[in-house]
Amino acid sequence: MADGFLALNLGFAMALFALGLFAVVAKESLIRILLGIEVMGKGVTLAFVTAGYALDQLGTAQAFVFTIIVIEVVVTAIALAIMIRLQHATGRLDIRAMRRLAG
Amino acid sequence: MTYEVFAVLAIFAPLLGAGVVPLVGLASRRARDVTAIAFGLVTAVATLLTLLAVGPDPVRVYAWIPILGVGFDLRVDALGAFIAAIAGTIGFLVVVYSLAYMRHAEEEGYSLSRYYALVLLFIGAMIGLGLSDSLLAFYIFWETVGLCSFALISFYHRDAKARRAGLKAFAVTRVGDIGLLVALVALWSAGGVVTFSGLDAAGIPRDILGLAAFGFLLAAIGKSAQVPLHVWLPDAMEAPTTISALIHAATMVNAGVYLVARTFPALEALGWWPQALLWIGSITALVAALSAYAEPDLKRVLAYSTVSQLGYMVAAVGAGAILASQFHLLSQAIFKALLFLAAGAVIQAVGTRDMYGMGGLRTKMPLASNAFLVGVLAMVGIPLFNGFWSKELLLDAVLEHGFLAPFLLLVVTTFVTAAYSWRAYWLVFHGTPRFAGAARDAPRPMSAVLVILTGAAATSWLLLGPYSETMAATMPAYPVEPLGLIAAGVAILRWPSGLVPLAVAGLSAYFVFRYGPRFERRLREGSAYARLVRSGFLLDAMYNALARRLADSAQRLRSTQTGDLNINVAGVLGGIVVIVVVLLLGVV
Amino acid sequence: MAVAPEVAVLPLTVLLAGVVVSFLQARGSRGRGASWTGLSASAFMFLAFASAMGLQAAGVSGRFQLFGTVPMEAGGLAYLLALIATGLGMAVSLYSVTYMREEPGLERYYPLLLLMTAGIVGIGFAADLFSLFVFFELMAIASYGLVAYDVREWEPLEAGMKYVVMSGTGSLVALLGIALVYFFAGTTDLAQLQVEAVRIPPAASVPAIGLLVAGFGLKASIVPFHTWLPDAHSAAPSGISAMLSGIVIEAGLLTLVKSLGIFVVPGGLPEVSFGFLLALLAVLTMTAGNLLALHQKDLKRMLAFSSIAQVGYILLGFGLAFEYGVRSGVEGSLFHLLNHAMMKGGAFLAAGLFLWYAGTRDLDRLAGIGRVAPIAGASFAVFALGLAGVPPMSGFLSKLLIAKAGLDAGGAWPLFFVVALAANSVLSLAYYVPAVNRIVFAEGRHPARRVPWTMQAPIAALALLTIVFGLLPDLPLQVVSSAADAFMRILGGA
Repeated sequence: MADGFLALNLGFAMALFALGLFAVVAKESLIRILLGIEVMGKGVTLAFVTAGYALDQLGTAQAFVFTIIVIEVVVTAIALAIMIRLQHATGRLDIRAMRRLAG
Repeated sequence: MTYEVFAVLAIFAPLLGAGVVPLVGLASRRARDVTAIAFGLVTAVATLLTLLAVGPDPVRVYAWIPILGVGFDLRVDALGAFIAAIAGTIGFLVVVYSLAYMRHAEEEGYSLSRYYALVLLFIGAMIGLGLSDSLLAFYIFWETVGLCSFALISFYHRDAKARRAGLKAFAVTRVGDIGLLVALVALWSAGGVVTFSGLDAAGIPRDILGLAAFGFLLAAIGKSAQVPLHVWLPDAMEAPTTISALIHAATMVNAGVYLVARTFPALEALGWWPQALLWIGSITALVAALSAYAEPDLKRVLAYSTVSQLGYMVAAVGAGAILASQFHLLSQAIFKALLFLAAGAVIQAVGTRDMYGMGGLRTKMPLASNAFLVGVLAMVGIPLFNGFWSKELLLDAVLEHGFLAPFLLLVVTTFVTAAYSWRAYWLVFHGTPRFAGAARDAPRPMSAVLVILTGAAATSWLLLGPYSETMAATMPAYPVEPLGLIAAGVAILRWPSGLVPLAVAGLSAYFVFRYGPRFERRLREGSAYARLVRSGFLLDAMYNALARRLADSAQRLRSTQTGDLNINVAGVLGGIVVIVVVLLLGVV
Repeated sequence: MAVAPEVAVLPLTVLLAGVVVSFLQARGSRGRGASWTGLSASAFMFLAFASAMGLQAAGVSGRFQLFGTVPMEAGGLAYLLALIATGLGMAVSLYSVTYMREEPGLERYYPLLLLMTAGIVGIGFAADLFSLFVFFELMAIASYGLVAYDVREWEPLEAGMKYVVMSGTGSLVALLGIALVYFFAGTTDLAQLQVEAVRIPPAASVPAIGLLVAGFGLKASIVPFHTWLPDAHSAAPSGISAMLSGIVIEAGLLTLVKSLGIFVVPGGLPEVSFGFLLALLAVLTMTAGNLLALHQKDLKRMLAFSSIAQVGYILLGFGLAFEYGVRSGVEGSLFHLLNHAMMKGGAFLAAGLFLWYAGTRDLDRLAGIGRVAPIAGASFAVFALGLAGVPPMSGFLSKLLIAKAGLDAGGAWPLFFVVALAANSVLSLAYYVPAVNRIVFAEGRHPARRVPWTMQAPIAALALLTIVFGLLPDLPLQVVSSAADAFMRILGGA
């Protein structure tokens, strides 16, 4: 039963990760892409928590998760800062407006 | 007092000069010229004194990279010392010649400091190449001469043709150098061999030896412009003629021949090695000679001629005739340099390289004409000039060792060689003068060099005795025997090897003077033969097509850089999937 | 004389102190004052470099805890990375003193530069998979701010956004791999994992390897994860481009290599043949990088693509080492890492100088700039030829060692890899040589400008070092060798 529980959790983690990755691959709105990255992050933290539970190392796992969240916050902040500038420059947050650099 | 110090001096003096000359040039042009001459002279003397240091054993000069077990080792035997001496002395003569010849370049805004620095760097690297026992040092010198060759071919950098020719030369020879690299690391890795001496010692596994042999062969083919990597040498004629004389006639192109000769004792056990050399050499000799006949450009004729003569030497090594090949190397260096420098004087006076724009210059430029004639006589193989002795010895050796088919190819080549040589001499110096302007013989420094080289062409054959003795004494692993002039003469005058080539030379003279004009007309009108030659016997055309294909595919690859973020990340996802699948498939 | 390994925290501490100091310094100043910030940043870089060198010379080694909790290990590999990062960082800081003088926002520039360097140093010292990741992220985050530095222009914004998204994605991919490893092996300590990793079932280790290769490989610009690089390295200020191409992507590669090391059975070779996969990826990377560089008209973009190819060469050495256990692969790769940092770093600094001088990155418009800036022009020629593997520049020797690794490994595939390496070097001539011709020899009209020595000196020094290390490689090879020792212990003491 415990194994099944773990498998379910890991499965959810993978699913979240895949969902987030899908958003980054398929969506054209920068906001959606950023949210996709966030969701991926959640999937990864769920995986860590599950691992901590399975290994009875919840303390360590919590430390990992907090660190990951902090990193994520910083990255999001930077991403948003750039996005604000992009909004100023192009009037929208769409990757179709960001295709000047190619080849 | 050991004489090895001269060897070290011979290598590093010109390298030092390469750094010093531009600095002096910042102050004064005169001083720079004098400095260049001084370094050239010191180097030449040092290389001649190095001949005193010849001995069969390698010398460790400096523990260079102890952590890799690689030292800076020299081997001053006859094979290398003569190459070094040629590089040093002809290098010096070329520097003297350049004083007058390159003056116009300075006026046109090209930097002669760069020129002299590169020439000195080249000379030092060439000497180092000849004297190195350490394979790594050899490789570095080998690449450095290639680098200098490239830089000097594109010396007239405003000319797009020159830049392209330089890049082509560099790229083609570097393809050959891939072979040298593989050979080097194969020997180092599998046999722990880091020197040529180590190669001579037995005990290398046969497949590694074969791989190394293939690598050396590839490198030699590239550097000595043998078929199929010969295409860079004719184009390299965009270089100043002094450079064509020094690098592309007397020294660098001989490096390939030197390499195959150097590695001969170790590799001859591989049955295919001598055969490959024989066939590549003789085929190249013929193909190049045929190409030379169809060329209107005087320097390109000489370039193809060099390729052809190198073919002779490579074939000779294949036949085991080390002495003959190296003696011919000496002769060729002298008479080819002579031909190029005489041609240079003519080209500078007339302003074109096209032989159809010359003619009848014998009266206007008598010294150049006679110098060129001596070069032609030497190349054709007329008795009394050095080419006769060395070429006859070579042909004799090939036949002696029982290689009939290559011998016949080489004899036919002799016919064509004589033909294109007479043709060149005739078109430039005889016949109807097509050049209207005034042309005078070259200024003193240039003419002096021509006279010196003429004398050398007429006398260098006298050195056969001491030359062969030094070789036999310092190169015990190689099949060389001392050979005196009398013995050589007797061997040569034996039928058929001795007299056939003489007869052939005479026959070709008749052919050229009788049928020449008719043939020329058809060449100028663009016969199939001319077209074949122009495409480099289809090889050049093939390489150009290959290069274009590569450039096109590179251009099309740019479309993968879409600029679309979704596609980029999709690429990442795809990559993950492929990697996981590949790993799963590979996991046992 | 045994020095406690805790002393090895010194370079990192110095850099972090520098972050604080340069931030405070830059906040209040502009113009003249900005130069002082740059000089103090250079000083901190120098102190970190000197301390790393001292530690290396004293042979301080062993594990220690950073802030009492984070496991770190001092050793050859850590020192090598620290020396390269701080050494290049010194050159870049000094260069930036005048190059960045008129730029606003220097309170972002120097602190982020020092922070990024600190992250790289941490990657070298990390002894734990998760802390390795944290330092990796530190480096990455700092680099985001540095790529998107000039927010007034479009290019850094587009390039920065794409870089953040892709790199963030890559980091999470790698992190998922780390989670998998942690789940199945029970620990994140690198040394313990070496023993424990055998417990991971292949159903988990294979995806984990794939995720790690993709995630860290993205930062290392391995093909097909490389598409962010040309934009980001072109858009960044040139000193940052030098760091990015010179050491950041290499640090990403080392992170990958360190994390993959756990899958090697002690005393043997990995069960999963990922070494061979790495070698294949390496050939793909080098070929694609060189081909894509061929038609580039923008000097910085050309150098960026060439960095992708050069990472391919470095990856090949490691791949051969993982697959066949050959030490020369590690030595060659680490030596090439050092040489590339000098050559590519110098090349970007030179490109920045040309940009500063003539206001363009376009090769056609930069024609003949080497005549009016001769030191930069000559140095650029040295860097370009060295990157193409021409002796006597040091880039040749490192490629030679990697080639030797292929022959040491033996067999048909390694020979193919060696030929691919050599052929790619020849191919790269096709864009390096015309670039050098254009810059140094072509005719162009450029106004006379006085180039500050703080910009020329780092370039000249790097060029000189490239030649010196090429002719007398014994000293750098000693440092490389001690770094290789540490690595080879992972691979079973070959």
